[in-house]
Parts: sequence; structure tokens; C-alpha cells
Amino acid sequence: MKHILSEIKFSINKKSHLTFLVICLGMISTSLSFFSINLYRSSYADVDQYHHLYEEVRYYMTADNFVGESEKKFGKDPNRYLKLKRYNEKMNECEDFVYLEQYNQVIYIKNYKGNDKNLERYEEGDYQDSKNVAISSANGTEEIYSCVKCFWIGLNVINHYKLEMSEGEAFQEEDYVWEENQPIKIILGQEYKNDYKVGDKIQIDMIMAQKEAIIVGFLEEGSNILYHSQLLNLDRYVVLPLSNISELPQTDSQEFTFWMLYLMKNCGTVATTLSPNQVQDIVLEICKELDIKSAYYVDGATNQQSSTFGMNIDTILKIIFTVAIGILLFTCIILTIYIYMKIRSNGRYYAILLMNGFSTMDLIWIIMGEILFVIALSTIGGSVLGILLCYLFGGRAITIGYIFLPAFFIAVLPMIIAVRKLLKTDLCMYLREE
Amino acid sequence: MLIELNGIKKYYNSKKNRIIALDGVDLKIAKGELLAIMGKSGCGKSTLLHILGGLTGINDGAYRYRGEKVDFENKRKLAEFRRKNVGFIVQNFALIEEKTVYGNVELPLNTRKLSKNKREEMVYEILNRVGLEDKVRRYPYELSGGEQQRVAIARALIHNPQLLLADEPTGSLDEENQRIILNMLKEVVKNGTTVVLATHDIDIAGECDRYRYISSGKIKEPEKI
Repeated sequence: MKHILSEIKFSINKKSHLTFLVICLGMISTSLSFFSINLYRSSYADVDQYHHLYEEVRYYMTADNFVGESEKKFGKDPNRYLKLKRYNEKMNECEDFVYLEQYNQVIYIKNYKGNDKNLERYEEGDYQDSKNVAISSANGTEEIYSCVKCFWIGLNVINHYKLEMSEGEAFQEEDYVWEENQPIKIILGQEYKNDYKVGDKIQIDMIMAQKEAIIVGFLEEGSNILYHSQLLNLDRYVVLPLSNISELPQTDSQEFTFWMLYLMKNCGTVATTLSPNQVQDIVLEICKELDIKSAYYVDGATNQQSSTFGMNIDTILKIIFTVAIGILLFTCIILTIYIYMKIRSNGRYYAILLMNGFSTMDLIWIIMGEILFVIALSTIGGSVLGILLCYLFGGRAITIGYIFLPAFFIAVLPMIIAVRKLLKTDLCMYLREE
Repeated sequence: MLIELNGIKKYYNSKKNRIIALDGVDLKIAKGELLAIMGKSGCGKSTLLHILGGLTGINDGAYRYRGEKVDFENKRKLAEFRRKNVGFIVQNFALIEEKTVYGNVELPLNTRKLSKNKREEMVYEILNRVGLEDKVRRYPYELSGGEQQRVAIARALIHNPQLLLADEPTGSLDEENQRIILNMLKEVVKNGTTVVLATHDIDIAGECDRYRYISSGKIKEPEKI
């Protein structure tokens, strides 16, 4: 065995610059393949969890037309609050679709302890303004808050998306009732896990009020909902209940709270098998009943489409997977060519080894050892790079095990080709007169 | 007899036709003999030597070494046969350019279970015998043709083979070095090693105990010199 290892080392060093190049190429390819496969697996895991949502159901955003003149006009309607409430009730009661109250709206947390990743505009890079925001409290003093990502959800959202809690509990029915001077219950995404715990009380500033909030639970890692045609991962979000207000507002502050809450509640998402036009017809009918003509509209159908590239999510996943396989095949071919050329150029060397007591099997082991050396270094380096890519560009590194699948695949074909080439070659011809 | 060849046939299949290298060779070689195999270029001399050394197989016939049949089908046993019994030298020296003189000469010992010290001792001893002990750390390209062939001889003899096969060992050398190499081979024969030498040079063949001539894939009638 020592003689084989010694010759493997010698053979690798023989054209070390070429070997180095192939290893680098192998590392890059393996890392890209690792990243692609993990991206595929993590995306597929996400999508698979929600695949029942894609099968026949379509998701349409709804929005209001309360801008400019129409907002001013509606603002003067003495029955505006009742109409907002009634519209919400009718959308929730409609049997032709499932109405999901869900809205993306930031909040501010006092004495924020969490990670910067959870801050508003972190992904865009300009999150510094989200830190240390001075907000006046009820008694007039300025206090420091941080602006964090926040998602507001209605009563049926957790069940609809089958969201699970890793700790604590989900919102109960009574948590969806707005009580003016009472704390509000909140749920946190997994990225908050190290900084807060169930039962913690924090001070928050919402768009309509400042309240004490009680943390009742943490969502499982990888919890997603469908928003704006894409899966939105809630790991970095605070989740608040989009509460109902049973009484119509009496005071100015109550009016503001009511207005803001129902604006959010009434710009939810419709899940249905109907076409966008059919849903639009229903919404128009409701608006007509409530004499708020054209106040709301359907924002087009998602129909399983991603907003990126405008393609079906399944198609995108297939493309990612195909790219991963393509990279693997490319690496496999390059390695095969490298080994094939090496055997051809090393014919004389192998003949000399044979002449000096090495067996054919020894030569095969030397060649395989060289292939395995290249593969091993590529795999180790590729894993590290691949994990880094996953960290930088998303696609959770679900398992390191996925690196061994490409490594095995890359190794098999070159080994087979190499052994066949060696066994078919008459090495003695290299010993004849040149 | 050390070696007996009976009806040895060897051919190569190319895309268009079959090339017959040896067409029924019969040959007996005694222990301690210096035998020359003569013939024109491409007549099958090298092929015969490769068969004798267990480097290539046969298509028909039998090869007996010390009375036992050499099994060309069993690659492991063939490698063992080469390791124990055979040393090779060829016209182009067949040295590994990237290894030093030491590395080249040590090569046959790497397949044996010998300690590093023992291997070193054997390498220096054989290099001493061929007069190259001061060139041990040099690379082949730093040596003359004669010196390279002496390194090749050292490598071929380091494991004390019973059979030394030399394929045109003097073909690349000048007259002086030819003489040196030939004398070395004679010295080797005196020590009991059988040497089979392939050559197209009648003068070289004349220095041997006897010669055989290959023509049309067959060995011609023996003529003792």
C-alpha cells in the first residue's frame, strides 16, 4: 500500500499546476452544485409544505382606492367606519373564497434586543435609520425605539398556512379583539429566539397606538405565508393579530385606531378557485351594497406565479435543479477528460512501473487514488464555499450530506473511464524504441 | 532449463487487420546464459522479451519458467513473477525524469516490505557496483546516455533477478559506452543471472554465448557462435 500511496503523491505532483486547476474547478462546481441543490431542497421544502395551496387555489391581493380625492370623499362619509366594518365582515363571510387578513406593516420596539437582521430594510442595506428612532411617548418624553419587520394576520391565517409554533402558543380567538388599554399578544419568528422568551413584555409603537406587548410564542423556523405572489418567510418578523373592534369609535384616537386597523384588515388576500374577474365582481357587488362604489379592487391573480421572472414556482425549482445537475455533469466531464489525458500522457510512466514489479491493480489504485484526492479536496473546499453561498444568498444549507451526492456522482464516471482506458492500453508500446 | 517456450503466438488486432508478431516460437534458454535475439526492426524481438518478462500475454502456446507454467491470465501472479525474477533494461533507458537516480533505482524495492534503511543500503550498494554512487541525487537529464543506462541496469539488478531482459541496451550509446554496458552484462552473467538481449547489431550478438534470429514471427535454427 505504501508504494501505491507514494506513487499517487508522485503522480499528483507530476503536473501539480494542472491538478491544482482541476481541484479549483471542482471546488467551484461542487459549491455551486451544493448551493443549487440546497436551494432546490429548501425551496421545495417550503413549497411542498404549501403545495396544497398551489394545486387549484389562486391567491389575489386586494387593495383599496382610498387615495387623493376618493380618500377625502370617503373621509367625509358619516358612516365610513360602519362601512369599513361591514365590508370586512362580508369579505370574511363570503362563501366563494377564503379571505385572509394579512398585511405587512412595521412596528417599533423600545429597547430592542434583537438582531439587526430583523430590522426594517436590512436586506436593502440601509437599515441604520431603523435603529435608534426617537418616538414621543404618551407623557411627551422621547424614547428610543427600533423599527422592525412586522406582519399582521387575521384569525384564519395560522390555520390556513398550517403555521406551527416551536414554543409557546398561537393567537387564540380572544386575542383578535382590540382592547384599548390592554396589552397586545405577539408572536415572534425564529430569529428572535436567542434574544427574547415567551412571557417577555415589551413596549411597542404601532402605527395607530403604543402598547405593551406580551410574547406568547415563537413560530417554527421556515414558517412562510404567501404574500405578493411569493412565499414570505416569517423568521425575522414580529407577528401581530389583526384585531376586530366591536364598537364603532367614539373619540379621535379611537377613530384613528379604527381607521388604520380596518384599512389593513380590508387589504387582505383572497384564496379561491375563481378567476380574478369573478372575484372582482364579488368585491364590486359588496362595495355596491355598502355604497362604497369601487372602493376595493383585486390586484390580479398570482395563480402560482412568482413575481420574479413571472414563472410558475415549480418551473423555477426545476430550472434550479437542472442547473445543479448541469454543473455536476460539466464537472464530471472535465474530470473525466483530465484523467483520460493524464493516463495517455502517463503511459510511459505506468509501463515503467509495470516493468519494475507493479501490478495492473496497483496502477488502477494509483489512478483511483488520484481521482479520490481531487474529489476529496474539491468536496471539502466546495462544502465550505457552498455553505457560504447558502448563507449569503439564501437557500438554507439543509444538510451537508447533499455534498456527498455530487461528489460520488463526479467520481464514478471518471473512475470507470480511467480503468477502462488503462486496461485497453498496451503499455508495452511505451517501452519500445522511440 | 530456466525457460522453455513452446509454440508461442502473439498477434495484435488493429482496426483493419491482424498483425502477427510471433507465429509459433519455440525457444529454450539455460540458466546463466547470455543469449542474443536478433532481427530487423519490427520483427518481434521486443514482443518476445515482453512475453519472457511477463509484461504482455500470449495468444497461444506455453511459457515455462523453471518448469512451472507462467499464468498470463492471473495478473497478480504475473506481477509477482516479474517482481521476483525479472529485471528489464530498454534502449531509451525508461527512467522516470521527475525522480532522482535514487528514486529510479529504488523503484523495484517499493513493492517489497523492506525498511527505509535496508532500501537505502541496497540502492547505494548497486550504484557502487555500476560506478554511480556520486550521482545518487541527480536527475536523469543531468546524466549522459551511458550513465543513464547504467542507472537503468542498477534498477534492473537491485532485487537480484534471475532473468535480465535487455531490449537494445546499447542502441542509443556511442562505441565506448556500448563496450561498458556489454561488459557489465557479461559480469552479470558471470554472477549467475541469465541475460536475454535483443539487438539488430551482429557485433553485439557476436559477444554473446549464442544468438537466435527472428524472422516472419518464428525463431530460426540455432547457431552456436
